[in-house]
Amino acid sequence: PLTEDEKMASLSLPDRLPSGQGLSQVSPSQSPYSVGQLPAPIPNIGSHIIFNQKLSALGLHFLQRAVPIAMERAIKEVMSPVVQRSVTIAIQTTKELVLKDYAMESDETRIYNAAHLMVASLAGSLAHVTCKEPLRASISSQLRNSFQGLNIASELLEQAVPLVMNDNLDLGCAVIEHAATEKALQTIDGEIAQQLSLRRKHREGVGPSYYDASMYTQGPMGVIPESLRPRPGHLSHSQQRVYEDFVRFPWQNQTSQSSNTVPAGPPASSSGSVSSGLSRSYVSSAGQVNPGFYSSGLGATVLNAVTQPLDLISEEMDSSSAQLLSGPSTRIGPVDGVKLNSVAAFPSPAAPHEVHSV
Amino acid sequence: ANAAGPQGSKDRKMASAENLVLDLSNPDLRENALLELSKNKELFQDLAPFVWNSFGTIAALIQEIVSIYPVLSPPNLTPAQSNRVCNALALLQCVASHPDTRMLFLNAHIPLYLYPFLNTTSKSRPFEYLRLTSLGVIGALVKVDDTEVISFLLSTEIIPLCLRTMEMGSELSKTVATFIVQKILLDDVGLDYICTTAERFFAVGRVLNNMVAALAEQPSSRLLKHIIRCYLRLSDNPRACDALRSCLPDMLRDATFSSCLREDPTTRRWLQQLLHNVGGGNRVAALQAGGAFDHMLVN
Repeated sequence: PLTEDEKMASLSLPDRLPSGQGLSQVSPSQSPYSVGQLPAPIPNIGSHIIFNQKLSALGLHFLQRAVPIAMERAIKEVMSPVVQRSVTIAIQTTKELVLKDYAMESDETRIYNAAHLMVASLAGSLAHVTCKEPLRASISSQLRNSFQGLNIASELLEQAVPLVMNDNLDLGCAVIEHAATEKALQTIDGEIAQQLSLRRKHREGVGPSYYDASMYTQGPMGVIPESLRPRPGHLSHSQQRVYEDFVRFPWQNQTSQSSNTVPAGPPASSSGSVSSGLSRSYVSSAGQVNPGFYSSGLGATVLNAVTQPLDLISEEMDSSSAQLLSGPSTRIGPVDGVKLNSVAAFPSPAAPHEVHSV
Repeated sequence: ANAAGPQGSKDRKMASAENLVLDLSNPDLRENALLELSKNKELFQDLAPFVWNSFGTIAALIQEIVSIYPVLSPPNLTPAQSNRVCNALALLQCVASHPDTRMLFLNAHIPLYLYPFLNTTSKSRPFEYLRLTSLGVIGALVKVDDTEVISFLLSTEIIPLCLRTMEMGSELSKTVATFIVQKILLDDVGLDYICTTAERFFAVGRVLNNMVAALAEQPSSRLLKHIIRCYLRLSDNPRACDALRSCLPDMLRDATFSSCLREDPTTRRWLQQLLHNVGGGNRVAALQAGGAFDHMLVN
């Protein structure tokens, strides 16, 4: 949906990786793939849309057709910039960290497995958290648009929109999350293959001594104790678990009001271990709520930790600010209505047709 | 470090840091390890290379971060969750501060995982604390005056997130967010970035103006200091300086803050310089002459 001007604007400004607020201004150049290659919304969304019986009670049963259309439009509107951004970030993080942690690993299957687990989780998590508010806004405006055409009284509309939102926002987020996960899994292998082939060549040149070569004892690894270094075949059980734990999708821990599941199987491109993890994670959260996960160790922990970050930045600030930062408590201002979407993307300089007075 | 005593003590500390970093990869031991490490991070020398280079540690810290995304909206973050993730952020702040790990940290795009925290608007204490700690990580990055760091942050649109906190945060997080904007402005790349479009300039100017107005009700000399430094730096850009002639708050020109600045000669000097730069009281002439941004706006 970018105009040519916007594309040019983005291309001439390399410094754009939007924070997700500037969804309409995502730079195509930041992404390894184009908008056209994005996965289509999961087909058959309509069959997963919840149509609240209260809508029928309000005499709005005829919305049964309008709601899925509005949902699909909203998802489409929000999805591609969110997916692009999330995948780009997740790929970069995964590439850097997996290649670092598995620098000494000769079994490439393990490297790919770790990368798949991590990138799927990160891309999905980022997409979900980034899309929620834009999607809420988009669903609301799509619904209002379609309701307007139906001549529905505004009081009814105000009752209907939250009902639809409450039932279906999570579904929309899950669809976008899924698309990001899938795209990330499709993209990651190519990203790390090149590095791995360089590594392979180097290993063939150096021979078995590779593992004891410079990187192991000198360079960055030299500064850390042996027990903490990545060593082939010497990872402890808990070390190996770190990457496996990425299948424990964060959204599983959420108590969800909605019983929606993502209407799709595991991503086609994923390896065996990943797809099993992902399909598990896409199972409805309803039966898997894990409320105890964070609740351990409250008490003393809270007391010890509560003043701690106040000094985090004190050294960076001038002395008077430092006093403030080490103060005993934060003053939390009065609640007022700052809307989540009130901060627009920082405007790009090269989109003059969009500039208007402020 | 020549004496046996301090060396022995240092070794013990490092051994304990080593064990704690090992514990981080075990989900059952992680919460305690996070607490102990972040509480004692000054005691452990070169903790950052430890954290970065050890297997899986950064991956584990990122897990801590993304695991609370689901409770950001609707806002359901508990104090315990907030504390736990803030301890993880404290370790990332070490990594962000250390010269050997800073660029690795940026290159892995890790700051971006904090942005959802800066995008929250709940004023409850757990959220306020989370935003403040996240800003602390960004603050550690900008502290070093590295133009590469500034460019990275600008490219990831940190400015709107800072502006949001400057609008709705506690006084403390407002101060940190303003400090970050100040550090970004002090870099030429940052000043250019913000003064490149009228919209950007006015977005920053509007938030600064609102903070000044709020300070008249509830003074904070520390926050005022950073605000004035931001204005002064903006006035180094000719077009921004022109625009400030008409939009600098009157409260900075009159005596509103004179008692607030009584103890602070540096900030008083900055304010004088600022007023000098924007041409003192001759505002009618300034309005006529200074149309630099105005004509950008009508384009």
